[in-house]
Amino acid sequence: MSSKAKTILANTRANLSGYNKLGSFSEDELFDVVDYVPSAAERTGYSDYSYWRCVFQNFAKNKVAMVLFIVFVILFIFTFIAGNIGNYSYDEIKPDNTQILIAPNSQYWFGTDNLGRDYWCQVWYAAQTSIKLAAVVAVGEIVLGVIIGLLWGYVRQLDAFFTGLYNTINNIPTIIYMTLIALLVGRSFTIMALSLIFFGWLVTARNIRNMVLIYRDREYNLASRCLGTSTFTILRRNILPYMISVIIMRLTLSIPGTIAWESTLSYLGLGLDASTPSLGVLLRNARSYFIDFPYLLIFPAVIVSLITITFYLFGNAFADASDPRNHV
Amino acid sequence: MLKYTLSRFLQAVITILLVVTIVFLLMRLLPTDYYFTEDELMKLTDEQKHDQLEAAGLLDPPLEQLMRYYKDLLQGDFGTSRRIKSGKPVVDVIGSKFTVSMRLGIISLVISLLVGIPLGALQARFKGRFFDKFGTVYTVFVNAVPALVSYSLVLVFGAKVLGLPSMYSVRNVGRSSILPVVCLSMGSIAHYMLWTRRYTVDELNKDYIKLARLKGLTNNQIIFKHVLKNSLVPLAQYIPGSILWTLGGSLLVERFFSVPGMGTLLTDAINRYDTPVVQTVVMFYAALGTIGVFLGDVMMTMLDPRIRLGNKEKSR
Amino acid sequence: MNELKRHQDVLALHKEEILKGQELYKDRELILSAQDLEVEFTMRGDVLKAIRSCSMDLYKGETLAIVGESGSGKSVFTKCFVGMLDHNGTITNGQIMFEGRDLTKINNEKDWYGIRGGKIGMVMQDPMTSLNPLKTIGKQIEEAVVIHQGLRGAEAKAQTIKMLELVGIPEPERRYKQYPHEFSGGMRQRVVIAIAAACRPQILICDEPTTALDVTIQAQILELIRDLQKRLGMTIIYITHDLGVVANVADRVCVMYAGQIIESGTVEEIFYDARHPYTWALLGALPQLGTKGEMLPTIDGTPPNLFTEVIGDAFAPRNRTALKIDSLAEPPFFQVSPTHKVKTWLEDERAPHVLRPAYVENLSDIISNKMYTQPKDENVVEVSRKDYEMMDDFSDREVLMEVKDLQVSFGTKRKPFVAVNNVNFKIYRGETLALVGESGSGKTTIGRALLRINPISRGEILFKGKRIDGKIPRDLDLEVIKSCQMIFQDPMASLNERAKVDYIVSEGILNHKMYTDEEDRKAKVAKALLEVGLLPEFASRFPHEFSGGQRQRIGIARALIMNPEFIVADEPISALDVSIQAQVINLMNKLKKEYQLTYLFIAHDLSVVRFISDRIAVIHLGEIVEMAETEELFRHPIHPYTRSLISAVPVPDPSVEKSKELFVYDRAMHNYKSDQPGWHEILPGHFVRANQQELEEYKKNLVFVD
Repeated sequence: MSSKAKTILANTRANLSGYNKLGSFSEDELFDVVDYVPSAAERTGYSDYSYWRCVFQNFAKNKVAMVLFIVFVILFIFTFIAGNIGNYSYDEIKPDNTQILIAPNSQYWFGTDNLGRDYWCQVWYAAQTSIKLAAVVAVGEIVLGVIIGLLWGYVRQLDAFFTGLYNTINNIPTIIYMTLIALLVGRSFTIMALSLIFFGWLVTARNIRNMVLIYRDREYNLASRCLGTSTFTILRRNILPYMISVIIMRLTLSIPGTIAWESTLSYLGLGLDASTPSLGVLLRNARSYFIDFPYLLIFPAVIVSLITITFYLFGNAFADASDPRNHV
Repeated sequence: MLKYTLSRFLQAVITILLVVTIVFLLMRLLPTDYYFTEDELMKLTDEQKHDQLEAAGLLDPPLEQLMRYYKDLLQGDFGTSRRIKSGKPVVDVIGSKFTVSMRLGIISLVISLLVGIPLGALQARFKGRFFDKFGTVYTVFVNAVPALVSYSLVLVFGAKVLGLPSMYSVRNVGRSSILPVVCLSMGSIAHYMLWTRRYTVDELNKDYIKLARLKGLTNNQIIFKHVLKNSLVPLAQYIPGSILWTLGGSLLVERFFSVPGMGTLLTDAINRYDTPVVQTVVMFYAALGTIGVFLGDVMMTMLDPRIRLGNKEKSR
Repeated sequence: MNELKRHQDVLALHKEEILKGQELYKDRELILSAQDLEVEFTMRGDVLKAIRSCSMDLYKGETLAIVGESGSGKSVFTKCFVGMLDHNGTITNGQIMFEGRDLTKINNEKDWYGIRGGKIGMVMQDPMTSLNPLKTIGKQIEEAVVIHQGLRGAEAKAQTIKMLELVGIPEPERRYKQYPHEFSGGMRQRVVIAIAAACRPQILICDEPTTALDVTIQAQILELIRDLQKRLGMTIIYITHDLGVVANVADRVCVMYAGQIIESGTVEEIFYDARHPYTWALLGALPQLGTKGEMLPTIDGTPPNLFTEVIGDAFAPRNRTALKIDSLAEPPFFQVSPTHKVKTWLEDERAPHVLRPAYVENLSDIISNKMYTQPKDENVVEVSRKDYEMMDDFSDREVLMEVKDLQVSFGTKRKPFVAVNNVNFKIYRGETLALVGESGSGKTTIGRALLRINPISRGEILFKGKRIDGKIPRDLDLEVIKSCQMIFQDPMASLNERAKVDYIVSEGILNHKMYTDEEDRKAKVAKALLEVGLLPEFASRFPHEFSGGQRQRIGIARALIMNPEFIVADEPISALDVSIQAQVINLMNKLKKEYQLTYLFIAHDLSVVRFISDRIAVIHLGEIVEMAETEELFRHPIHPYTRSLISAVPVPDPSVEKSKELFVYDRAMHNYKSDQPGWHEILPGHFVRANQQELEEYKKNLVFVD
């Protein structure tokens, strides 16, 4: 035996005290042929990779996103109780000439606006409106977008139609459509939600369609077709589960988008009616004053931006975490 | 190549026509009351109203009106404004506004291209370092914060700290254009940075970069000789199309800074039911957007030999 | 010690060759030397030890082949020599000495510029993605010429065109201006090689340069590499998973397993005198050596994953002749000859003499039995009457599937692309018909057309005499679904990652309610899993927990549960490692016997097919060019394309492979303009596609002995 082999053997022996059978081996016995166990061979090397575990591991590693997400949850809850803890309730505030443009103090926590109304309850009410609208639109957009996207991607005959529709709608700035709808149909929460959904599905559907195209001709779908699985079942069991990460990403990214749309449209006078305070309406009313009274801008801006930024980053972090290419 | 361009062009024309038709027909859905001012509504009898509407041809079947509209369009007649500048041809009403909008639009487009693309490429080059992170913070901020809020912040900062005019004014075009241009470019700079960075990083991960490294090329040679052009190909498709983005934004910016441009004109015309103006402005935006997308496709076709030489292989 | 004697006989037989190989290495100059190299990767928070204390010497002017399965670390090991490790990998120990300098100490990208390309070059596996799609071929080669040969302008261009010529690209001046997408895969690989050669490296690392290519192209690229080495005097490291290729190119061979080199020696020593059980197993798993009707020797299980520390000999759990010590201590290297060393306890003086597998001892015999000696004139085919005495009579057998005048086209109506044309064949019950062709030949399209995944544009498909193409009644549709199933090529893509094995396997019976109750369904799933050698408890797991071979078996279970009569197997083993391929082939053969299955076996190379099929149809560019019983086809190949395919199959015997002459097929040799080709039975049961003139010629070349 070479000297190197001897040292290795000695080292092994020293390490083997925990292994019951080994102590009894003599040096010669070590060179006996052992019985071959096929199941032991089958057991070697199996991967314990799991898609979702990896997603959550990656996500949990992103500390910034975690913190922001917690901030968002707190903010979200606070939005719905803040109106009740202020000194004024939104339903009771009235214009008051004597209380115009008072800077924030213990009475008016966020000050008053140019009509002398408490700003705190207006800001939180506006935030509530924004969140409600964003939630409704996000859900609607996703449901419509996923259904259309699946059909668009999987059913070849529908491809030309949906591509044409997509191009036609997408070639014109959405704001033009919004303007026309506001003009022709009217202005209210419901109309705005519906029209945002009507134009918002495009992005989701396109994303889903591109994903479906990747998976559609994978061999496992061909296998399902060979087994006589119906198209509906293939979409539900074979395709949709792969879309979950895109869906969640779109869901989180649509919320900042909707809030931005609402403020733009309301500012242009095409969104919610002026009696519903929303971010756009507040800023529109304050436009002439906030150079001299910056708190009129700062409070709504900070609160809304916190909501949108946290959600946007959350969406991005999730998208990164769910991308299989990052699972290394 | 030529065949492709022609067919894409035809598609673009059809899209514009489709939009114009839809808008026209939608406008006919409005109650005819909008044809009159409030004063007229009170004073005129029903019979008088009927006569006026009939004279304007508004009581004809919609299809007939549409045909008439097409015929006028072919002759270059876009109709006459009813409210904004009563009786004047729509083309004249739009004319002066058009220059204002386009000047702002083109300046900000040039700025955003010159700033956005190099910054995005630098971000990719220094991926993960401070500069990249800083750029990402900027793009996240611009993308996530509602445009209205960031415009307001720019306004307060510009007016209070730098003492710039807070409103656009015809007398002081130069200085008063600064804030609108900043607001217009802010978003598209972020867009170009984001896209350039993404595509450049994508290219850097491809196999041919490995071969380039194996050839012994330096990192800078790889970026300048291989990656930059390749990452601009998918980007080229977006550049003209992103005019859409600038356009959409310009509606808000013009209103926000009271710029007398196309956007302000459109919202005015809508609020005052000046249907010929609305139709024409919408047609104009539709044309601009469609042509932008069309140019994007053509540019990409020219840059990518795989498409140029009629190969079916997908380029991306 | 009978076997010992026989081994010595074998050694004596090849003694001269072995000595000649060893002679080559006397007083050779070292050019690069890696010592105790260790490489670790961080993946998902875990540490993967990809290279475990691996040492290798490289001699000037030699061609060294590194052989190993995927995951053995062969690619990672050589990437260290050019500083191209992925970002999550680091060298944790060891040194790589090159020109008096330790390459592991270089941690600055700039210091690599002087070495990469100019001194050590590399050719990667996939030529389709390794060229810049937006630059002309000429410019991409010229870059290398400018940097490494210092030429400028017209001179550089002239040199580039010379390089194109050197790697065998016709019309170099015209090709210079073309873009990569105008080149075929094989041509692109030539360009990549031209780029590497233009850098004038001393060492060229070829990382599986032919794996992504067709067999006939592979053979040509191998010739090119050998030729270039001679002309430019480079030292070559050739990485591959295919021992057959090794016999062709290598002077010396290193066998890698689980991040270590476990045996190294001259190519003759490895093929005629292998000492490590893993090397034996690799040789045994070569389908070229299999005998029909017998099981291929298999290696059970899969290579270890290197996230956990390996104790002892990494191959021990899969080794049928493992010693107790193998699971306890890592073996040291034992020197067999000055050029041959091996890392196994079997070489220890106290180890028992383990019987070597017969196929290792008889390698040359097996191969020479399988090679039908061709007459000197390469066109002549010798035919003997006794070749047909054993022939099966197919006339009274039941035709299960019949294809008449099949055409499949894709694309639009105005611009159709005809993928398959004029295809006629019958599949008899209980046989395995192999469909062999290169990529793009339309073989998969035919398979999918039979299972009605691709619609056909002309012709008829009959199953048990009933037409099943186009619209068919619902009950016939159900019958066909139940009796015809498919096994797919890529085990990674053919299972739904988001569904449990239970659902995947029972999908078919769920669709058609082919079970009485939930319990019955579970029992059926368990039975199907056991049938393919998996444990019933695997039903509750997700596919990602399984290795490629296990996944492929899940795919077979999915088809099997329907009780099919006919299975289309679309290259079921080409994506698998050599050691796993045999498992799947054996399983398919076992199932065929047990259930009287009929297979259409699609493959891209003849070596596998010879072992498994009863009849072979060779397909080229959408048309079947030759069809015959398996041995008949090998004995009397008539169509020039078939001959080129046979000659391209790598033979795992260095003495045969190194003297082999390649038969190259050029489609332009047919003149089908005026004289249309037809389908003729030229010998009993042996069909060939030819026109009248060719048919005359083929017949003239048939020489009847006895």
